[in-house]
Amino acid sequence: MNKNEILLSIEDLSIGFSKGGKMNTVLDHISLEVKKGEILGIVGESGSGKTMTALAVMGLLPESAKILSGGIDFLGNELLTMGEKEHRRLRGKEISMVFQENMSSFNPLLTIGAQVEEMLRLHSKYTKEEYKALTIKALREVGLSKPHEIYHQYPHQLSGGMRQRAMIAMAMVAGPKLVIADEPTTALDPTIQSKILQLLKKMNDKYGMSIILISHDLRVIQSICSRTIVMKDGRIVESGMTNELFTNPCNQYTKELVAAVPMLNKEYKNTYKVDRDSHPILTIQNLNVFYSEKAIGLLGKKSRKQVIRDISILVNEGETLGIVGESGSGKSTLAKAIVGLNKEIEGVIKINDFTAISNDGSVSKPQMVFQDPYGSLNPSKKIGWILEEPLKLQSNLGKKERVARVNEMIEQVGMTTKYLERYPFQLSGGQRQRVAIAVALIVNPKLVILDEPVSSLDTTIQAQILEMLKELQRKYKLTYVFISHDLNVIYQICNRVCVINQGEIVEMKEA
Amino acid sequence: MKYTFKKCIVFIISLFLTSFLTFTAFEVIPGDSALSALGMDASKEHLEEYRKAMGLDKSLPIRYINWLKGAIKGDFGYSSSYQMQMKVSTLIKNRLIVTLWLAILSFLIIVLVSIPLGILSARKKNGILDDLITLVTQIFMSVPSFFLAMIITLIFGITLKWFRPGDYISPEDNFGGFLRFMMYPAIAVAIPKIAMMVKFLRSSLLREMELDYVRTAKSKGMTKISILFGHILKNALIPVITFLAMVLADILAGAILVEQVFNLPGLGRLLVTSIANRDYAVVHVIVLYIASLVIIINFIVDLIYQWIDPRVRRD
Repeated sequence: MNKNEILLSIEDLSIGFSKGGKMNTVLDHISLEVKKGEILGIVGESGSGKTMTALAVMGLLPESAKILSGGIDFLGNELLTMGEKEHRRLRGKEISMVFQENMSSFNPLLTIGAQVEEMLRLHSKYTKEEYKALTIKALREVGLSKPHEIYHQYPHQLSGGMRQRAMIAMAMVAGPKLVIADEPTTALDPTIQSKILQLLKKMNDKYGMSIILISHDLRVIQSICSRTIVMKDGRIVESGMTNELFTNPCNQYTKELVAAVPMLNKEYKNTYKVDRDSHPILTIQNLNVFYSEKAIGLLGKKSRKQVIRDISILVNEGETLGIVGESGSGKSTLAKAIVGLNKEIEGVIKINDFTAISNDGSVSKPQMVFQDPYGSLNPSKKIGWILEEPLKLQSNLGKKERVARVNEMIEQVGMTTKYLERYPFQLSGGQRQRVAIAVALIVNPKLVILDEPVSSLDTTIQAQILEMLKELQRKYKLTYVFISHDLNVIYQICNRVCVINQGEIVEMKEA
Repeated sequence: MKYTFKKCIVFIISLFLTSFLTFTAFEVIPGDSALSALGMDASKEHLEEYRKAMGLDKSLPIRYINWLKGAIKGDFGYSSSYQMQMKVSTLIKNRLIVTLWLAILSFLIIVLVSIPLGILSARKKNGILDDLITLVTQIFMSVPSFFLAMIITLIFGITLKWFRPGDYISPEDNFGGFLRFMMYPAIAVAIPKIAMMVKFLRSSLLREMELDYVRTAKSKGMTKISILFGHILKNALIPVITFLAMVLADILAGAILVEQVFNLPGLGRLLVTSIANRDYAVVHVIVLYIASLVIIINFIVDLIYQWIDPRVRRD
């Protein structure tokens, strides 16, 4: 195969949405090429136009999208002007797509086998037995160990990693020339992420199909892409060979992106020194946490599931303890137990706050910051109200003092008082997380539990939030318990790291 | 399978519980059944004798068990409106046939009309056809079925003379004529429900169309129509089934006003007259019938869910 042959070429493509008479451009004169057999990375923040580019190639743009200029050429076919019928014939057969949402991208009512096989049925003619055999072969090829069983299973019965493998099998079963993988690993745990990337690489080596890998995560792009395109605000800001691009970024934005990747840059490590003889602020001894499972029917027995097994942790004042583990390891359950949101516990959780009794309205309760700042902020209230509420409940400050406090806090988290009049949906993800942190800090806690506070944010925003957390810690002498599945984030901010797996501490070390 | 078995046991227990509760409730209601059976001027001895003969002097649990023994065999006692000459079971049976046929016919009309209309409306979203369907359903949803019954009588009965208003044909006399006559009340019952179903199905379909798995299906190169029937419809029907079950329970319980307008000897009218005549034996059975109906339909819906949705299956 000639490696330099062009498979797909996008030329001067602009796409916009008209909103209230104004054209809102989401892709601004994009030009790119994909060669046969190469893996091209597209990296950028959410809203940079990566996914829109992919949807344009697939012909899956929302109906409200308007093509303003340019074209997409795929092996001599102009995709944007071709009829729906011809385009449909290319979809799946020549160009297929792997999506991020490995659960919702499958039909919950059909078996994995039926859904993978459907792709074959649409684009080829075989007998019933041959269809099944080919489907099972494809499932085996993506590393699913029991393909015969998985063929008959439903999406909810598989783990996230297995579903993503099945989705790759579905995308590849009809033998496409181009696979577009849109954030294929973002929803997965780090250990599984790398396996999925290796799988994509393996399929590329074996069958020579080209892959466009879209991600916000530089490390993902770096691991398998030969060439990379950096996008921001609908424009391509830089492109080139991956290694070169990331060792010698020219564009300011690329530089920022590279700088925000923790493993590439050691400067970000938390240098805040913990007092050697500081007191323990949180003592956890032999903690066991349970969940009651709902009984089935009237006669069913209630079962109790143990989530945390015999955990003991000591957190000293002023330090940042990282808790790391895969999803389902019990991290969040532990956090909820500490703040008192979980009642079914055995063992000791003691919070010593030496400044508990003070006149400025501070409280001894630990505060919590959640992963999903959108879901945890009341959508019908303004930011000012949201910030003031904990003060109303937990302090006896007057109205004036409360407002002064709110104004002070919003500036502490790097925003201005004009945001107090806005609603949560009017803010960006990073701003919402800043507000969530302000809500936690406004009552002057000494201990703050942060449950995946940056996981839903883009890398550059992540770095900003982590930096802000460190600053606030210095200023208010805070103690953090920082929960994350991402070791890189943990290393950036924590003094000590505690690794938990299946509810037990498997490792405890200095960062 | 184990789950289904458990569900069955729970189902049987709830039926017994319902029967016991309704029995107790009718025991608690003030009023003396001996007095109502024999009349106000019956002598004390007569009353005592009657109570003894009917087992009314026994304690509540024993009376319940006696009642249950009869009930299982289909014997619910005698109706006091017919001077204890008419068996409650016979009375109800005749009325039940009318109500059941009315329910079956209107349920069929509801399903056969609303599902295609809902799909059409969702497919042509925001088109003229969709707007028209939305407008018509909006109107019919706000019209009560007894008023529709009057309009239907006026148009098809009086003006077009397709049927004779008020001239009920019993199924024993002429089954074909009975069905033809029943079509009109069935339509009156069905129309408001159809309007609700179309609206409900349309929004359920539109919600499903936005989901990720539909995008996946598109990326496979499927046509819109095969995505609709192959993927979306089954998912969209899940909430609709619950709604349909509620509709079914509602129409099986009898449509009192429509029965009144068309002069149908249905269960709804029997309930109203029995309550007016303090004919508790009959009222009791109808209440029990309605309560059991809800339990049975819920049980069936549960089974259907398990059959359709693998996420609900638990083994």
